[in-house]
Amino acid sequence: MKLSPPTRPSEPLASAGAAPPLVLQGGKPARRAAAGRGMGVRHWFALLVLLPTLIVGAYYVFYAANIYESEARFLVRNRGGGGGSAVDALAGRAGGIASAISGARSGMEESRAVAAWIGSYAAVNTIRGDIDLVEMWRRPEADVVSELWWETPQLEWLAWYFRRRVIVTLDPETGVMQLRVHAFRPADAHRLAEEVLRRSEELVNTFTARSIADTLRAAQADVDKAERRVLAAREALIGFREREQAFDPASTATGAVTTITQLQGALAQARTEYEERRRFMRPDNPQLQVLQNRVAALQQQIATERARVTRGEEALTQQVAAFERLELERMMADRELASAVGSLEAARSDALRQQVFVMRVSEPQMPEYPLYPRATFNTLTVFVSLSVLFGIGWLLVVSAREHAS
Amino acid sequence: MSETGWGGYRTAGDGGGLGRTLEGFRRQATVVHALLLREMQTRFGRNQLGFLWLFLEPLMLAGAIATLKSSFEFGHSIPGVSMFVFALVSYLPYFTFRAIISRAPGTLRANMTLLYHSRVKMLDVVLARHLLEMAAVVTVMAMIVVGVAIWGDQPPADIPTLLIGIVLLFLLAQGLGLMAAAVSAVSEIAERLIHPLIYLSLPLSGALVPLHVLDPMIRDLMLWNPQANIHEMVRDGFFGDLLPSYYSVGYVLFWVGLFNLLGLAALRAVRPKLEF
Repeated sequence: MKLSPPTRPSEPLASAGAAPPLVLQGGKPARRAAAGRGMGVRHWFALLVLLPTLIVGAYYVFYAANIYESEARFLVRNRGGGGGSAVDALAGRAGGIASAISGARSGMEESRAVAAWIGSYAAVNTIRGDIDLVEMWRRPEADVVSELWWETPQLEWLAWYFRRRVIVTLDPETGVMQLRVHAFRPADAHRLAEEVLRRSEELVNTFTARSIADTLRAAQADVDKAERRVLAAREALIGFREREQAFDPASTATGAVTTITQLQGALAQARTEYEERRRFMRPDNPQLQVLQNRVAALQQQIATERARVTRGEEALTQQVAAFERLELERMMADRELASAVGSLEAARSDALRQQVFVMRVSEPQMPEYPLYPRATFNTLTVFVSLSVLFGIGWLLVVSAREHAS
Repeated sequence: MSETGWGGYRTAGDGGGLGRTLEGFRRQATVVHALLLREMQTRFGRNQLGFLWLFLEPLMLAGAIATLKSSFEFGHSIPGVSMFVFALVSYLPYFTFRAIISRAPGTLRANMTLLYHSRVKMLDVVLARHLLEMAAVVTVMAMIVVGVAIWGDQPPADIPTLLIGIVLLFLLAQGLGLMAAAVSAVSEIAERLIHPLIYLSLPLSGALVPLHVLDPMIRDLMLWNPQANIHEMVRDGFFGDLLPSYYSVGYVLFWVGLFNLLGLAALRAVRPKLEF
């Protein structure tokens, strides 16, 4: 068949094909090489796959220490709604992705916080104050591979090991958290699980306390402010009354105006009567004299009253304006106080409903049988994955060697 | 090239196992390199936009889909995650995956004449093609990352995760591509079936939607597919905490290993029919 048009790679190929070493390699050496390769594969397989598998298997059978698991399940719940329940989850999903992403489901936030807390440096630090973790994970029966490797580990290394031995998973559907604790003695596992659970409860309680305090503090601050305002308004009013010697300038002013109006009415009536009588009475009639006196008296009285209302600094109108301002301030302050007290009440009942607590679904059990290490499974995994890797490697090597033959 | 690549063949005959293997690898690398250059020439030509097409092709396709998606406002919306960038980051790896597998059946036939050279083996031809695709996707990904970091003001959250995700996807496609090439070499029906299968696998691949918005039950089913795991990983590397992601690297590695083993073995099994 015709060769493809000469591209650059084909040229050296052609020259290499005619190279003498290839000819030299035929015959006996080639057969020996092939036979050697067959042996080689078996040897390599034994060396790279079977030997490691055997080592791992032997480790598990003869050497590996038993690891006991104590498991607890718990739920972080709100007092109000069923926190993290399936209904909530459904509502969260129906409410759209945005709400689901912002973690708007009630109770779930606290669950995640608890899951994040266990395994944090703070948690390890707290727990190592109560339980001697180092001693617990360096029991004499522990083997060198799985025990805690440091006698006096720094916090970071201890936390690293802690995260391998204390595992928390959160089921996002039901909100149930699963806590699994591994240790070399059943009692150790049980004790540590109990301790982690207790500390988690404490953490959740501080959440509640803090959230209640936060909610109430804002409402209480409002109430305090409103109270101060009411007091100030009252003070100002009392000060005004003392200074102005008037209990209620508004009503005083009203009274004065009423009096003037009445007096003016009476004056008008008196004048009318006077004019009427003057038409048919003599000027020196005593009745006219009486009326004249009355008109004069009324005019005098009106002038007096007017003067009293509009007299200089103590003008009643100004007094009234100042008084009304103070009165308005007092009313507003009263109303604010009432509403602030109302919000405080609401916040208090709200906070009670916000209370979060840990509900233990299943207490940590005292392990009886060492579930770990999973010797058979791990050994098989090692064998299968090494076999696959070996297969790939072998195929690659064989195809590479073809190029060199 | 001739000096570094072919200078050492004198040791080929006499060396023992290890030396011969190393020599073989060196020669294979040279062959693959040469094939890679040839592949570039044949696929992109010299006189047009040339190598630029290598980068423009996936970028344009991903860009078109992203524009379509963002202008019609369908699908999901996640705060902080731009639809355009999401589509780019999700579709681009998928395109490579599809390109590798759908081109695989034709690879051997297109390069049949090359196999007359005793130096060129089937694996070299397939590897060269896959490496070309890989180079394309990594370059385009780098361009996107830089572009989004500059104009979108959103640097990738975790570059190693992003890169490892892409490499894993490439390795998975490589395993599947090897199998596809081998199978289609012996059976024409199988070759015809590969394309519909690729299209049918699109909804299952997890490239279209972030698994986070799915129902947890469906999400768990999707995660049986190693490809969905990888797409999640790539997105995790890009978006980080903006978009919660779900994947297991161990699971992906298992499938990658298995597919590659099966692919290499299958290619070897069909060799008597094709090589000379």
